[in-house]
Amino acid sequence: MILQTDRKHDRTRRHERGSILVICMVLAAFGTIGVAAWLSLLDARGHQVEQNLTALKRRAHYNNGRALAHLAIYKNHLHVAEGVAADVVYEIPGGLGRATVRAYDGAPLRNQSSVRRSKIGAVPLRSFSTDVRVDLPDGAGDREWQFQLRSYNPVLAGDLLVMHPLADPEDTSPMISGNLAVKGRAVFWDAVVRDFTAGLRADEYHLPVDIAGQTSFATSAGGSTLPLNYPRPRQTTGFAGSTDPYRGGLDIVRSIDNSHNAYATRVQASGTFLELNGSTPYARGDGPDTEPPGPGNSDDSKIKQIDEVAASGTGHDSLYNRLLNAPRLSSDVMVHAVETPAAFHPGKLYEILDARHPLPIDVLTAVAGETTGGITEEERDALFRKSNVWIWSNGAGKIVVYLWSPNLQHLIMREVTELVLEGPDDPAVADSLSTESPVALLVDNPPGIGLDRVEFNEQNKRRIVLALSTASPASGDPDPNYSPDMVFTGSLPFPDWRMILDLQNTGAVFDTTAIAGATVVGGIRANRPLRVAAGRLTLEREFDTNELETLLSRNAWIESYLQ
Amino acid sequence: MNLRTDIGERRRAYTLVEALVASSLLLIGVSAAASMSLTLLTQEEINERSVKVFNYLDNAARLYQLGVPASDIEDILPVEPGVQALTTATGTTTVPLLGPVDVTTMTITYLASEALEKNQASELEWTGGDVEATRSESVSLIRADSYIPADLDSGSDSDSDSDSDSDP
Repeated sequence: MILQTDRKHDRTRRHERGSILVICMVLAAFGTIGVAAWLSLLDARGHQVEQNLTALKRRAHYNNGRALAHLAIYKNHLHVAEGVAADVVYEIPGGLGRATVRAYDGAPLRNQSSVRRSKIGAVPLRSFSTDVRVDLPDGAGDREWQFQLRSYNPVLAGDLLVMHPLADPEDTSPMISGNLAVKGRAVFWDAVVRDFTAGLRADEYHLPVDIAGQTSFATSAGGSTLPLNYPRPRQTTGFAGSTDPYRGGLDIVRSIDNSHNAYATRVQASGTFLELNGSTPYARGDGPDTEPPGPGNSDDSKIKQIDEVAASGTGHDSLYNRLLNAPRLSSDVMVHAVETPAAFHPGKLYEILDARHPLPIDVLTAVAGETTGGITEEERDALFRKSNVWIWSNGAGKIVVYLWSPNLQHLIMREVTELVLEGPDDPAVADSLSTESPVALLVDNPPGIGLDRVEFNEQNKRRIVLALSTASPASGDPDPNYSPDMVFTGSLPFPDWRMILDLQNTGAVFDTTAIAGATVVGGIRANRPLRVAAGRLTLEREFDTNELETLLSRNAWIESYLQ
Repeated sequence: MNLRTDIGERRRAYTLVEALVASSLLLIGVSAAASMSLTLLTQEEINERSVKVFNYLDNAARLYQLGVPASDIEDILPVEPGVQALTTATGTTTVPLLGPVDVTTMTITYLASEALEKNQASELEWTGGDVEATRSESVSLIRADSYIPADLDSGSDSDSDSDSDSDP
């Protein structure tokens, strides 16, 4: 019995010792698992932290790719004349970033197929867009971005006054002086304080970011305002000679390198345009090109009689009666009469021609170039009006355009020293022209010839684009006149002129004293100083963009969106 | 019989040697755990510091790529006690089809294990590690100026010119 009890107790004690050991081992196992888990977690945390750095570099390289795409499009695509036929891959050595520009058609500045609403506030609300897909690697794959190569005319977008960097950097006169009121935004690519203290008033100012010095900015109503506080997207008008396309140079009137954004290209593409030279007499009206000699036209005898009268100084009345009463007069006879004013008493030649409207083009051209006094200015004007002449040149640099004519076409003019734009004096006629298609009037003077005077007579409610270009002379030659007088005349006070003025390498000296003040409904873009020498000039916005936005030269910029 | 039974049932205690050995083992384990805990806590603090510094570098890089001048970035970002220096060095690399492109290397140097000053925005105190231990990391950046540059060099935009007629 005792032995059995001792054995039982010994067995129980051994079991208790074993249980403690098991418990200790279990506890040790749990502890080991806990410590191992802790270590594992910390190790994972360490890896996660280091991966943050990897992710950071991937993000940086992804954004490098986006910046690279911007640089590449600025450098190679935005301002050029053609699209890309195959994908182009740009890659920074060392794997620091890559951008793949997918193929696209057409030059952005020439694009007319797509009009988008803008999504940011610093650019025109409405603009053309060439959409370019760009793939950017983010480390795990490619992300698709859409780079929208936008373009639009800034004046039409509300920048009623746009001053590009001056073509003559040495010019220290204020960019704007005199009584100029802008009922919209005045934009300066580059400016200093003096440009805002010589009379300019504008409702909004958009200035270069680094302008220094204190000044006040006056609104068109005479109040004070602060300039807009957002930067202006990098823009281009295309190639501008040898200068950087993004530094505000202008080559938009007629250009070889920048033909895709030049007015002349757009005008020529329309198919309805006229090219003429101010140094050649010219006139265009409703009449035929010429009036040929025909049956019953004894041209030789008439011409002979004209010469005899001019030589002898007698027989004026007989000649006058014969020509006035002739059933037909050929162009040869009429042109010879115009060129021989000595054969007619004052006013008689006018009467002969006045009876034969519409006069043939060759006769009108002779009248336009007549400088000996046989036909007075008033008589010439009357003849032209009755023959519905819409343009003429006197061959001495003066060109006159009648804006009310239904035949008016786009014009490309050269060697012009004086340009007269005749608007209708009848308000009803002026109003009737407000829905006509816009017309571009281009003056592309060669080196050495400057436009001296532009006359705006009466009023104009037909939308016109007046683009003037003055070429710089060769080295050593004298400069032409870069700042033509722009004079508003007529019988109507405070007339409206619907026009957009694009002044390439050209300034202006405005004079509105004859009509007290004028309003340009449109705007002005220039890269030489503008001065309102007398009177007051106001700029207002043109809201009718129909057909005008595709005619105007544009600025291009980039907007990019993740797809 | 009862006496024999009581004597026989008395349990045998652990010997002194057993207790000493067990205590030693326990002490070694506790010491190891304590040491490892401090090391792991320090490592975790290093991790946290690194995360903050990497975020700092991330923000600095983004600001730079957005067009902020490098010299202004440190003034814009909130103070991060771990950061010893943020430097930039700009070089040029040639990108095929594009030409020379400025590449800026932005380098951040930070104290990996202990801050020199307390971050007022944080309640954490650094508790371990070598004060002098630093680490540097770099990232290479390029950027495109998407706005009209201020230096058009037209001749009429110089600061001196602006200042000379600054008073209206």
